[in-house]
Amino acid sequence: MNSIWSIAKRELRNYFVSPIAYIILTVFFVICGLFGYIEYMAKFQYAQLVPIMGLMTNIFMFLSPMLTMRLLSEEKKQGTLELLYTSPLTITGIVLGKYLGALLFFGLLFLISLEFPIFLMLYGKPDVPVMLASMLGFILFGGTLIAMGLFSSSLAETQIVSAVIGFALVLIFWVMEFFSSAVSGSVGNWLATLSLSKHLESFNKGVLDGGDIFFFLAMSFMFIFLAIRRLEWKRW
Amino acid sequence: MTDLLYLILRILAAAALIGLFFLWVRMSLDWFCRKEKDYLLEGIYSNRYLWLVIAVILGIATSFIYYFLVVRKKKITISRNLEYGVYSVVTVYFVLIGVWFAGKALDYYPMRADLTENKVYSLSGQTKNVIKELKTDVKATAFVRKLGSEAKYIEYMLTEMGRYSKRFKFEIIDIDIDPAKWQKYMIGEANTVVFEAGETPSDASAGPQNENIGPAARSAAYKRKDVKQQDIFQSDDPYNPQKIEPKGEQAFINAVYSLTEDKQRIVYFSEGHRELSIGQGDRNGLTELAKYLKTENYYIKTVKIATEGMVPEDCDLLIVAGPLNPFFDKEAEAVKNYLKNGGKAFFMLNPDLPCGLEKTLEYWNIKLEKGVVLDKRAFFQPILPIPSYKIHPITSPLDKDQVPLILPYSRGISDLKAKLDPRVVSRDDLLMTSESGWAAAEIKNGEKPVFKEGRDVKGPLALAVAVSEFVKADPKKTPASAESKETQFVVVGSSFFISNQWLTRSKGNLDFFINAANWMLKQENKISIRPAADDMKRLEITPTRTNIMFLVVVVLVPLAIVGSGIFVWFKRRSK
Repeated sequence: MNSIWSIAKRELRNYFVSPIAYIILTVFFVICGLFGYIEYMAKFQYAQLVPIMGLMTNIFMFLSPMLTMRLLSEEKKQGTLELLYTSPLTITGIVLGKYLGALLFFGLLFLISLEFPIFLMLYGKPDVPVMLASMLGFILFGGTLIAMGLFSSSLAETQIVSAVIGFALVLIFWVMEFFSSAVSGSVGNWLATLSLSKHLESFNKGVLDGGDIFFFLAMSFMFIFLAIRRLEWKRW
Repeated sequence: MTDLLYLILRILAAAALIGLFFLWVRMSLDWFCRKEKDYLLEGIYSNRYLWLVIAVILGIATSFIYYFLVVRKKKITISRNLEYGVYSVVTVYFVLIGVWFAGKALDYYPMRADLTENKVYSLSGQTKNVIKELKTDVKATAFVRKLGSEAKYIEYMLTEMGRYSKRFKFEIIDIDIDPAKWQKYMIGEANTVVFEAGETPSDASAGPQNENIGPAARSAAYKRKDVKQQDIFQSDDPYNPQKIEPKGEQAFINAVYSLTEDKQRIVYFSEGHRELSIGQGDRNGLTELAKYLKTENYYIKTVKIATEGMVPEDCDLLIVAGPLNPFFDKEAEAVKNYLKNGGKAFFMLNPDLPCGLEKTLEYWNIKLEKGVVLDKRAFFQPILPIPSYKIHPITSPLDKDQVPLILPYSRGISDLKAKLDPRVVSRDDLLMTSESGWAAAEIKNGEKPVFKEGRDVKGPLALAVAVSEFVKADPKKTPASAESKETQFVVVGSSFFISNQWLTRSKGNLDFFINAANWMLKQENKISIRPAADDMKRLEITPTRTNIMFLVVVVLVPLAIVGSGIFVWFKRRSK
């Protein structure tokens, strides 16, 4: 457990000593701030977090591969993964530590994004439970995207390739609902159940559905597990 | 830690197995005990059969994989590459099965919490009742453009409705992908939902019900009703028609009524005594009420009893909405005869005005009190009392959810207590003032009203009563087999509570009125609370607040991030 925590801390530190953390955070908050402020807070004056949350999920979808591309690819490229293998750390520990590190960074991003709900609470009477539901949706969504990115980072040795794979993976699961509409009947319905956007929808409506929570947790679990398998496979 | 992950995998696998097992049991029960077999023999409903087959195959496959890779994990010897590959595939397989199974299981046992204030995304009690008690199969086919938000809303509502009855089925068709079907149904615009009941004619281009399009439409059992986009998304606010809100639930349930009800009920509004008018769109008109009655699938007509000489024979419910001029004796007699014959009526009467129906109501022991009711429990002013509910099928759903009702400018109703033997009349109070309410004989402008003993009537007073009496059929006039009828009517000591002004202001008023109408017309499954609307909340914005938001959200936060980046960069460079 301690080893996971120390890897997580190292990862979080890595983010902030390189420019990547600042670039991601700045891009994220400039776009969210501008659009959120102009479109929703000043123009329509919604006392609702949902439209801003929609904006945040869309932008995070584009930024998450950049956040995760480094995690395992860099270690592979620099050959430091071999060092880690020979250390007393288990592969599971390494992967979980890296996942936790990226998750902590996402947590920081989420904390800063609380500026929106705070303003809504100050200047209006938003539906607080709906707001909390959409926040929970955003957190689960972020966790899943990071797991996907982690897995794609375990596949490639160059960061840019893993970013592209990660983005493709996220995009496929995001537009799965669109694919499903092209296939009619039961298969189409089943494809729709794998869609990220579909499962996020009800959170943003203020409806908590056990199936949606299960979906995001199961997806995160699957991709973390696949990343571990991939590294174990590569080890031999 | 690896062990923990394997443990989770094993639990997931076991859960998937158990889940599949329950699914088999459930489907097998469906198969043997219920109508699935007949459905299959008739060559329809094969979808469920397909699921049964898939579930069995998946289950057997899962059991094998579980046994060989999880239970006997240590004994298998395969090449390492293959083993890792297989394990990865198995993980993906279990997760996908798990997601699919969770979705299926949650269809049967929903684990959902609607956190919105008005429960916008939950079906209203009324809709659930109607869907649960469907006696015929109803099929909804939605023709949408799938990328639009309208399509999502329509799909969401239909899915929700489908949860409550197996008799309700739906299909979503993307008109860009399947234009042939769209054309076959002869629908002009996107986002239309076609509701069908009964045997589908071989030619599906039958066209909507009541529209004379094709001969196949006259197939006796087949009914069709189209719900168009403008019925699903409409403005609720007569003063602000731009404010479009989704009203799909109401529109869909109305379509279901029109397909499943044997006949459309006819509601007559009396005219000729300066009553509130259904054609009048201002604050004192009844256009809103008329709109809702139409949504509940009632057909609305007006009647001048003085010229007709009687209440029309096809009248299912007579509504007397606040006459300012009294009914003539002959008219009152006609109303009495109608009621004695098992008629249904809704009287809404103004205080301190003779309505001409006093004698008629006395026949059922109803006495209209003088004076205007004032109450401390009221909507800002004592003249706008908020009554409490007495237990009755009409009021209990409102009482359960504590939906308030405002009865502006009303009069009390009391019991004459005369003996009515051998008639059996049941009379129930529906709405009561509080202990501190009273009927004031006079109200002076500018003076604070106070109760005066002797002049005023002390509360609590009933403000609405429901009366019902079983009338035996006259053996001389009708055959002996004729059923006995039930006279039912509701008297409310206020008429403005259903006017546009109060109907839009207080949701309980509408629910009370419609529930009472449904109670009299024996539409008990409709008695409930009507669907809610999503009210968009707004920020209270001032120029200063806008500036503060701009400064923090657009300027300060991004600047702080960039600033800390530069700070860290400089600090590291200087090291």
